[in-house]
Amino acid sequence: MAGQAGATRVPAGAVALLASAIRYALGACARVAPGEMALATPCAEWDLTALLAHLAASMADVESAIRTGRLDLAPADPPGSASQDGPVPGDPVDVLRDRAANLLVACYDHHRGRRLVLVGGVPLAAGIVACTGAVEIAVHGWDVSAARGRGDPIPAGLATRMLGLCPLLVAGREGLFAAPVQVPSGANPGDRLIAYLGRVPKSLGKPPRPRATGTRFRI
Amino acid sequence: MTPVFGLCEDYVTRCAALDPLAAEMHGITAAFSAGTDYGPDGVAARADLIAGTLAALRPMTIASDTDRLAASFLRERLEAQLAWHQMNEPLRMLSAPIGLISSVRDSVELLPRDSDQAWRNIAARLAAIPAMFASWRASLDAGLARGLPAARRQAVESAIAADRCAGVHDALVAAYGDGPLAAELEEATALAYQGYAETARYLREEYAPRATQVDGVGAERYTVAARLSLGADIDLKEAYEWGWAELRRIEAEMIAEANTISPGASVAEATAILNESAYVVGDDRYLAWLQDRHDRAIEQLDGVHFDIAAPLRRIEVVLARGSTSGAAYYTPPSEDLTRPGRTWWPLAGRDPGGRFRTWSELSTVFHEGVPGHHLQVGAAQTAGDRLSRFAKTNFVSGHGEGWALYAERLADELGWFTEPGTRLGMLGGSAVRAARVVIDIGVHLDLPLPDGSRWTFEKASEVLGTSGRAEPHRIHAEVVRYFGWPGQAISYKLGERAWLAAREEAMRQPGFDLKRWHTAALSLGPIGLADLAAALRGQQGGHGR
Repeated sequence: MAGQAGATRVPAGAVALLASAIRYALGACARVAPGEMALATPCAEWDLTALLAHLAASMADVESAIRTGRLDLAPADPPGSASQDGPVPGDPVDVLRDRAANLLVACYDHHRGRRLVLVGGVPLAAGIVACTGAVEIAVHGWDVSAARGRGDPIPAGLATRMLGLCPLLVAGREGLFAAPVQVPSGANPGDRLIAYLGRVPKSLGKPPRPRATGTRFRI
Repeated sequence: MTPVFGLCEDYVTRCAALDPLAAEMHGITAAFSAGTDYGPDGVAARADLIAGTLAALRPMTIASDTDRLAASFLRERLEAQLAWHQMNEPLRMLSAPIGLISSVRDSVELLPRDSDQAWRNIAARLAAIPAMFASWRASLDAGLARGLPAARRQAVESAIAADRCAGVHDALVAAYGDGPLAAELEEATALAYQGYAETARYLREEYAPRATQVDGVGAERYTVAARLSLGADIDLKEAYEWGWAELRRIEAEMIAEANTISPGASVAEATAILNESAYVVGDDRYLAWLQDRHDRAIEQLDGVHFDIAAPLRRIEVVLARGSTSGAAYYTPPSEDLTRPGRTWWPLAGRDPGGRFRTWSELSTVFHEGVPGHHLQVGAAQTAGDRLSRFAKTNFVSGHGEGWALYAERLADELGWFTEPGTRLGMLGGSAVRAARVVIDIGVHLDLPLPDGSRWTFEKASEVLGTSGRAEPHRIHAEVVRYFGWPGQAISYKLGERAWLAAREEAMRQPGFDLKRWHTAALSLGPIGLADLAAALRGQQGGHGR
């Protein structure tokens, strides 16, 4: 987990950012059909089932962190490994929706300007935790869309806000993200964001392909 | 027509004009109208209609027993609804997964599709969705301005329910094909999706931050809500204790029943065995199985245990692909019986080519179809001039859901759960309903659990899973529903209790005949639980000997 240990300043609109990220990600998942669950994703060796399970588990982690004020860090999956998140009963997209609702309720209920969360024993502002979760959710939402051959861009407003935060949130990226992908200087914010996080934007003309992104992004 | 029946007729007509979506849902025949005004003006108009009708009823002369029944039912329902309005509930009417979003979504699917005009109506309804949601948002904003926020959890869950509506009408529109209205339908569908999306954004990003963190509604609001659901004012603490005792009783029965599946098996082990042995594969086979079981139930009952009117001897089974509730439900026939009674079975994200359990579903066939909702509601609709139009088109949850749960128990008494596991399925459904009693009352009244702990969302989920033995994938949606719809979840078990008590009383009379008692009970039409026993006593006097 990157970030500034001991930070007490909460980024403005952290929960709003999270809400927007959830909206985008659930939109990407809205029409996922049961027959698509075996599709390859931009996250190496994860099919759509594994990616959705990972995203649901990440949401649960952030919710727990916000709700309880602490999160014990699990070791990140090494790049290229399959998700270790076990299967959850029910339709994976429905599970994701339930987790998203729990997360957002927790953030609205428990997020306070000066609230701190102990992440692996290190105090972090709750807003930082929420923003980190937002980036995770948005980028995996894009992964879902890419897996289905769409690659719908992350909305410009959301991507722009995240681009401003990413240097803070993704400072130590080794083992978490592949190296940034070069994009043209005029690329839209959505493409710039996912390229920064090691994905190949659809606009580059190359089909999204599995990469060793190591997207385990547990805070 | 007596003045009372005339007033009932007039109320139904006016109410349908003010809320065409609810009217369609209840099968009321009325001129098509594209949408309902859920805004403050629409809410006020409905409250005025209720108050005005009650005022008109007050001085009326009662001409007969049927008049008395009609007047009593109208008064009871309208008083309960007026109390609900007076609590300003329409200004914080926000619940998921069953709520206004699902009502609007389903209203499109319920419309006839048999003519060009019908398809134009569908387009008009779709195009009206943004305006309907805008009017609803105006009411919610008015509620916030008056310090009456709904629960935050309901706002967030409703937003997700609205998100899910992306694409929900595609299959309907595709069914039209490429006729002359195709472009109009496509445009209207796009507008509808914009309406869902904007509402999701509003709920998640504008309303939720201003909503209340508290899930429970408190004693005052809950009492009004429970009265609306039950048609009775009950001792809620007594019901809470009874719910816990009922959970324990069912648990003991389930343990014994599991032993019949495999000697020594626990309930979980028996469930696992059944999940691997009693199912059909694919949604087509699931649909065919459901339709067959509905048809069989009618054949078994008709003329033997009940007399079923000819127009009711067919129930249409529908797979509800867009439903988020996870629970089956019933929609009644239209008043003219051109629209059949339908039972709706959510796929709830399941793989259409995957497995569909049958052992746990048979009991629900009896609940939603016959002898459950379809028989009861259909009997009212075919009652001719014995029941008012208001009685034919209205529903008291405690009475109706109580009957439907009683119908499951009756099926057990009649020995219909002969296939492996089906009786365990019935008991599992009963356990869920008992768990609803303790969760619903406990959460909203903030009563302690037996171990002294307090209710939370997580605790309610745990109780529903362990004591209620609900399927894991249904727990979240169920608990959200109880939290957002106070008083409704208790209506099944407490209604069943009222029906069983009334039958027990009748059975003590000489010459009791079950078929005759059922016929008399159904002929009453809907009635609040407070009046049920006395009304049945009256019927027994008239029909029982």
